[in-house]
Amino acid sequence: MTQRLLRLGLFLLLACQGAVGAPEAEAQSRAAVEQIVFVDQIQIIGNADLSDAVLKAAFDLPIGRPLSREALDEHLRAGKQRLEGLGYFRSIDVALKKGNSRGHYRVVLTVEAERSSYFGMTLVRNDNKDESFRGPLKSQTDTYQAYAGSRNLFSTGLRGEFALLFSKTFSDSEVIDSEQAMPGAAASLYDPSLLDSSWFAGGAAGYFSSKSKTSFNLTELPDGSVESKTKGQFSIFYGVVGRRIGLTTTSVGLSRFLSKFETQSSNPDDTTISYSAPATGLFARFSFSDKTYLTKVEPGSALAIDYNRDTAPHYEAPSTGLTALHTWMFGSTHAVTPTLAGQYDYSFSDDNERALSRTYDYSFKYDYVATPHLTLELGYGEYRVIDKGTETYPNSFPHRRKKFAVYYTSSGFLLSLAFQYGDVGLDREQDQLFLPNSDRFTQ
Amino acid sequence: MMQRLLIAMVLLLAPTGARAAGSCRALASPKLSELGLEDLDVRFAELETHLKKGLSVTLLSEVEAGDRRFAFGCRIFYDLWDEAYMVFPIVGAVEVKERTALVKKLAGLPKACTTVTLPWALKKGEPVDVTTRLNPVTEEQVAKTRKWLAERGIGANGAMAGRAAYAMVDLKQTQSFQRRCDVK
Repeated sequence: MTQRLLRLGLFLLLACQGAVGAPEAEAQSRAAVEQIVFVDQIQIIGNADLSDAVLKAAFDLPIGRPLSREALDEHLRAGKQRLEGLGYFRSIDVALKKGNSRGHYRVVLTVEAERSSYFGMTLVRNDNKDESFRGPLKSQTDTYQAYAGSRNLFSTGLRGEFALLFSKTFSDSEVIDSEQAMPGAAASLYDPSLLDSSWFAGGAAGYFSSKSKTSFNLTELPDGSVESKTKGQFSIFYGVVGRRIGLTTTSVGLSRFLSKFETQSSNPDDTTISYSAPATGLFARFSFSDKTYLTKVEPGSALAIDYNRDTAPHYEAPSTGLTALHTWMFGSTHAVTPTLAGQYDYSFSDDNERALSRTYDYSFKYDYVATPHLTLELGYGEYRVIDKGTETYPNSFPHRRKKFAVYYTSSGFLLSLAFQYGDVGLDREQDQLFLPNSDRFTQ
Repeated sequence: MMQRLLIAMVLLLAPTGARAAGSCRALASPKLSELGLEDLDVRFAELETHLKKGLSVTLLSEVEAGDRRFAFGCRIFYDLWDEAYMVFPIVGAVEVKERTALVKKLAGLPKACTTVTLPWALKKGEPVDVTTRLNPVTEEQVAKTRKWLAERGIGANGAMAGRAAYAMVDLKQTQSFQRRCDVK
């Protein structure tokens, strides 16, 4: 009886040992026959900037799980492709090394980081010839911008940028000559992947001061001319949060505009006028775009609805504005990319003066994808007010713009040069020069 | 000025890709024809370095003769434990499960990768085009990577703040070679 119990105990003990060791033994025998392998560890070399956890999450290789040799190979290839897509690394080398026992491996990732910091300059000259409500108008705007930023701020994965800006505008018409100088600074911070999710968030702030001088040569005036000087400053704050699902992006944001200006006139009858104009804006944007450079075609469209409420009266009553913007792009990453944009602005003031404008913008871009990066852009735009306008600005004439722009971008120091002619109405690049707007974040 | 601009545009738009050269021989036969690729623009030393890292190499050739299509090639592994190469032939786009014998050293691409007996006969002078792809990526994998990158706003002109948007991310595409066979 005792012997039978001992035998049963020994049998159960061996059975338990067998049960515990069985999967490994089975996997090892399969490894020899069917090439089942295990990856026990990922070793990362050369990654000083990005957290290893972020890198491993992108590589997404199952650790300690049995894989066919073929599946491991596909995992390694796809993982490398995703790491390349991150844009953080100049080179990525993947290698398998022997692990602790046969069929077991460790993966060695050797990466060389792309420089995450960048700096550069943008110079834009804009010549304009147009019809104003008091005859032909010629104007010229020079904009200079110097910027520095990082795509991986303090190794956190955050993107930040600081820019110094200066613009100078001259305009000349039969009745009005003016010049304006506007220096400013702007900073932005952006998290492209909140907690490694598909959500993103960003914010920007800008401060600008402005000094302008305007001379009116009006025959209606007793002495024929009058000169006014305006100086002031304004600040803009901006925040956005959104999410990407597949190839679509949806975002909502809030902007706040604060300004304070003072105008002095040479006409002794006029007194100094001081005014401030805070305004609040809300926007919602939806866009679809495939920009991953995996396909030849890069279709995209965007719809934006902006709401602005200007709460402080200055020249006019407080006003409210609504803007709907839609953009269609269809082209190729290696050829001409036609872009078509339409914008509708509707604004009305509390004294019921209303204006509705419609802007069309067509452009053809050719991207020469190489280092340095060269973009040529030919554009045509039309801006037309289709309502009566306001009494102050009776916009009943069309504005047209022609644009020829060259953007040259080298790696390291980035230099953008653009020459534009007849620029009135919708101009995304021009907007971007002054403030990191939502397009920066969502496109 | 306009003329110069047009010339510049034409030069920039001109196709820059060149067809890889290489020869191919095929024997006309009343039954089954044999086709062999020679001087493939593949530097075997580079492939060997890749293989010695434990990564596989796949070479897939698509044969097109009139409306007939056929694919063949091979997948090569280097086993770090056995320190030997394993070659799995691919015939008719299906990977043959049985490997060729373990080979300690390869002098060049194995014959299984470059030679095949076609399931049909070729006529003398018949045009035969062969496209060979090195480590081809499946459409499914491309779609998966595209979705992954798009959801994180990463990629060329991706959601990078400011001018960093110019950072080019051009995912490595499959290397391919095209040639026309001389059927003798």
